[in-house]
Amino acid sequence: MITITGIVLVSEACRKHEGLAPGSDVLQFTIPAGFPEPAYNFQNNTPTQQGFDLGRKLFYDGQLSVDGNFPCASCHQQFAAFSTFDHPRSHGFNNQFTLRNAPGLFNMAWVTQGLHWDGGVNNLEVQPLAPLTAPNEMAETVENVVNKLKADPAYPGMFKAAFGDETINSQRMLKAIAQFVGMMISADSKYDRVKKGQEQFSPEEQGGYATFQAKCAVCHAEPLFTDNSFRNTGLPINEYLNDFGRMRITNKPEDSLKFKVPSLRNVNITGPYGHDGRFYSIGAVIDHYRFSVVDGPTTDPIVKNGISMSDDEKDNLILFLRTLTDTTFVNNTRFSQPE
Amino acid sequence: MKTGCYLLMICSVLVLSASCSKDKSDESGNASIRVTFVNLAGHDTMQLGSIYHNTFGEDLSFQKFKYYISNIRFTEYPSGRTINAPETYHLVDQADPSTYSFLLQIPITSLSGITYLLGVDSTRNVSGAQTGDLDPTRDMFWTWNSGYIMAKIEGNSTFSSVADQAVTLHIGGFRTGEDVTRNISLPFPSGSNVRMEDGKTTQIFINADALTWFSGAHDLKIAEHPTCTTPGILATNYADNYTRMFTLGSVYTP
Repeated sequence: MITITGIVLVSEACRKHEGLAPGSDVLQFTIPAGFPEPAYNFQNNTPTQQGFDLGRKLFYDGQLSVDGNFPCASCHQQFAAFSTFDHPRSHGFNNQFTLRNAPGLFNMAWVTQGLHWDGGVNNLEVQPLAPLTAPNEMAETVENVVNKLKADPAYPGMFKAAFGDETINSQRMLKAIAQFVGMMISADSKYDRVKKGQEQFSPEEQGGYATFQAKCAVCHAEPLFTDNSFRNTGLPINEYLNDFGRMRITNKPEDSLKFKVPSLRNVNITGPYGHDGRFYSIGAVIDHYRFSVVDGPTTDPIVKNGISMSDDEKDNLILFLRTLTDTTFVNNTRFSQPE
Repeated sequence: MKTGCYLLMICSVLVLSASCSKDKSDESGNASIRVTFVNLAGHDTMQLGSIYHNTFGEDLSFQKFKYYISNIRFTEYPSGRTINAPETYHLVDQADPSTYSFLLQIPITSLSGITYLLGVDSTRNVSGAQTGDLDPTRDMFWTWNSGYIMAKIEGNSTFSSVADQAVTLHIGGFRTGEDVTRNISLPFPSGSNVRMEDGKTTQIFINADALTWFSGAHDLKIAEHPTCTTPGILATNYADNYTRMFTLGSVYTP
């Protein structure tokens, strides 16, 4: 009797030892076949169903913005693989726009060298602070948001379920959002099924894949379809935005106009393309590489002389890139707005 | 499950099955140290809003003066051994006198010096969402280039050429080459090592002179630099200057 009680007490003690709320259900983070170890490994933030549910509610909650109109989900739309559909840059508070194109949110746990187009965010957990406090985005203060959550009767119970008591603070809010976003894994596209031998490319898609491997895969390396590096792909500067990319973070002139290589997963539904969304189709991006790369001081050697290909190769490449769309992920109600 | 959990289970079962009648001892062998920071502007105790002058004769009134103290350790006397204080990340905020001092508990011994980091160490800067004095609501964390503002001065000067004659010095950066954290070592005056005593609180007073930011290793006139809000050379220049911000005040066990 004492031993049974001891085991129950001890397993609860173990949960506390690891910071898990009593009764919480640990979620498995399953690394897809062929993926490397994630860079963000949920240390000190074990994902649980309760933490995930809280993060999801926060992600869709307009209260995180100053006027209620700009939850995370307003720029990160599930049907666009959590990018902003059909917008080069996204809407923010008071009729303003963001500086840059909103990336899709999938496989964020594998991002290295910093999140964002300039790599300025060094940990998944602190990413939401940037849009939350940006005056042209959600335009709030962290303190205000925490106070709103404290005043909302829906939240104390969810914080208790996720973290063990009803304390609401910025750390818990951010950890919950990281549990939600971190679990967004996209690895079930037609490409992935072909790789597993479950499906076959059409001849055109196969041709496009060959072109991809020959001409794109150094930067857009499989299976993440990015090598996470920062590169200048020869885009002429937009003199209204004056965005010098990575240099703003490193202060190094050699990083001028370099931006993070985006993942091409789900590319067919995450347009427009480029750090400022200047390309309205995949074809326009490919034609930039074929015909209009600006060879400047920091332009990447891989692209500075352009990437040549025939029109047929381009068409097949586009067909291949469409196989990277993961409709399972896009339709997964687990990541959708809660009822 | 982690090894610690298995050990906890084994130990817990052993404890539960043994008799629980033995009294716990009260004696932890620890005593308290109170560290108090005294913020100064030159020789004067700092008052927000009062006007002071740096060595260049430039006027300055402070609206904010905040800095992080962390990674505190003591030098033991006479062994010279380093004793680590319990993990501490403390924000001294001139606007809140309750932040001027804090308590530490360490095993009773004699001490001949205190050492600490001005700022937040690089590991903590990349470790995700933090709380307590490291909470981003303390207004000391950059959201666009993740990392802590290690020390902050905001104020006004007639020598500032920017809007509102503002002086805005948000000194941050932790990566190699732009690291503005500084190790501050304050040995106690020779022959005045202090002995901690059971039931007593040893007092350590440290002065922090904000006017040191503007001169010393580098001349940083307000007229030339009213603003510093990114990591880089200007920030590390301020850090080189504020390395000498701290001087030891009194140290004693009452």
